[in-house]
Amino acid sequence: MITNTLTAEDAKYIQFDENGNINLELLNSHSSESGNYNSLLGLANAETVINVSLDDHFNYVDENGVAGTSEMSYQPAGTMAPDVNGETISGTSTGEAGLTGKTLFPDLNGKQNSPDGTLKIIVNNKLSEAARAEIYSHEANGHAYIYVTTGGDRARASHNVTTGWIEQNNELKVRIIDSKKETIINMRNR
Amino acid sequence: MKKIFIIVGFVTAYFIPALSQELKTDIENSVYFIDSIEFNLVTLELRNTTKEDVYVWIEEDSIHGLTTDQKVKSFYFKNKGDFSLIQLINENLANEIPSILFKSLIKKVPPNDCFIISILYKKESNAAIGSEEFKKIESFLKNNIVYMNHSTISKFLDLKQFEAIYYKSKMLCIDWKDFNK
Repeated sequence: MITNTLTAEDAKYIQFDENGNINLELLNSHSSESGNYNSLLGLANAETVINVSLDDHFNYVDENGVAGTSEMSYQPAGTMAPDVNGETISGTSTGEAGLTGKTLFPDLNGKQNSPDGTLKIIVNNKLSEAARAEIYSHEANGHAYIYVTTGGDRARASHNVTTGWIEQNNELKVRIIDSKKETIINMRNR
Repeated sequence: MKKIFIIVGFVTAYFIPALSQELKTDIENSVYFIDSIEFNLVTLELRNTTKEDVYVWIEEDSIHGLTTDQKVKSFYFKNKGDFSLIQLINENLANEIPSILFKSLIKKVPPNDCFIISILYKKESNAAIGSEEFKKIESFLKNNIVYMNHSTISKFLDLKQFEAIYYKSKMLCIDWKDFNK
């Protein structure tokens, strides 16, 4: 999923050990113009531990520390109009929909927060390979990247939607859409 | 002193085709005047005589000819702005914004309960409401309101996630001039 967001050349520098930890030395040994590669560099080198997983549910704690579980709904391809070029914030190129991904921040300032102090990125495991990479781009290179690079500024890393359902957080919107576009191009070129 | 006259108009009843003989709706036209200003109140009353919850929402465009699948996708999955309703729900954002007609206003009508949608049409003359205008309103009430029972909509959506945003009142009032521009 993560390597699918990168060019074939950049992906050569992505390696995971038997526990799923990224090889930081190898990652840092390479430089790239790619926004997605540089986002991954930022995430992997952050002080916050970031946990990426594929699942059909996630556990969280609310603002009072009370634990909960949320199932991740899934609607198959064709449910939404396909976002072929990655021009929308939350769509997928396949038209798959539902609770496609979730980022849980390691603070208690939201309705759903990480239960263990790590930043968690959960991508719906029912998604196709393409949609998984696009949703990872949204969650990791959008929400998570802004959170860890701003010292945990939740507001800057979160959606801010008006009654017209327009995203007011332009920094987040630009990061998400740029990353999704890059991912779609990289997957097409493989 | 203002003079108020009230005239009760006519009632038409029809059944919802998709839920034939399960839901009954009446459209009633009432007219009243305040001095020379004429107010027409066209009211649709939906009575849920089924044994399960019925969900009601209103589309900006006519739903005539749409399949059940298309009706659900249009309201819940189609992007309106930067997001679709399902995306806002999943981002925990939908309950932070008010019910918005054509976007997030969903009424859950339990069995044996009713829901009333009233459209107010104001006319600045003594003339009766034009039959063309009434036809437009009646057409809107017949063609832009979606009714779906629990067992049908559950095939597409987990309804639990929408509970926080259901429209609370048993009545919805719409000023015809506000959205018939």
